[in-house]
Amino acid sequence: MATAALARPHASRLRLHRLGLWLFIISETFLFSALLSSRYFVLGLSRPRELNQALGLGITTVLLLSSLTAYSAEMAAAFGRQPAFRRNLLATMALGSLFLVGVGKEWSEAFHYFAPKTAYGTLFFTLTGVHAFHVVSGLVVLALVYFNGRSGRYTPDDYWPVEGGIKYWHFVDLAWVFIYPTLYLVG
Amino acid sequence: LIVFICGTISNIVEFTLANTVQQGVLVPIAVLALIDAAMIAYVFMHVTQLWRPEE
Repeated sequence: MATAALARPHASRLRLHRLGLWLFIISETFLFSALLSSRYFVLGLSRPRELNQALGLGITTVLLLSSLTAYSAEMAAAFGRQPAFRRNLLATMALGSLFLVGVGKEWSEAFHYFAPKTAYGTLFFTLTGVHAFHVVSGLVVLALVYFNGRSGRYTPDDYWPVEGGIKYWHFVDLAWVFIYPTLYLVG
Repeated sequence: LIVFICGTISNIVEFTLANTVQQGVLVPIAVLALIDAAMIAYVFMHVTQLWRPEE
């Protein structure tokens, strides 16, 4: 009974952490929704034919795979499997970095076809740039979680930073699920 | 793993639709993207933790 009483404040704090993170995620969806809707406002249902759709599909798959490794890392932390936690978190960061390399390649191609000062160029570089910034910040968070986790800071009873960082990473993937078809496919 | 497989298949279907169908791809692509997003939110992000009673 004493254990249950001690665990209760921790559980309610965890609920507050989760609620706070979800509110933050919802506020972020407004930002991406505004950018996505402005694309339809500017271009309607057309799109430039020069976009590299195959590259878009490739980096989308990479980001989806990174969500799978992130999920495995979270489950490993929840069950106290430290080596699997570190291995999967490293894989997630490597895949996230690979995604950024793909975006960089797409940017270098896109500069040739639509300048950032044109309407579509502004939208393309803003949307992919804002998303890439989220990927970079997610990588920083995951790196912090990794280095803290190396010293055995997280236990199956207390691993909120792992859960929170990985939830944010999933959100980055979730946002791209809408950005990819909006930029590369519709039209 | 199921989410990853379904997501990848969904992305390939979206890609194929966009390159084969001339008009009216917005709705099926939007539906597929929403299904992908729901799977990520439900399985990976455990969205049900928000309203599930405390254990």
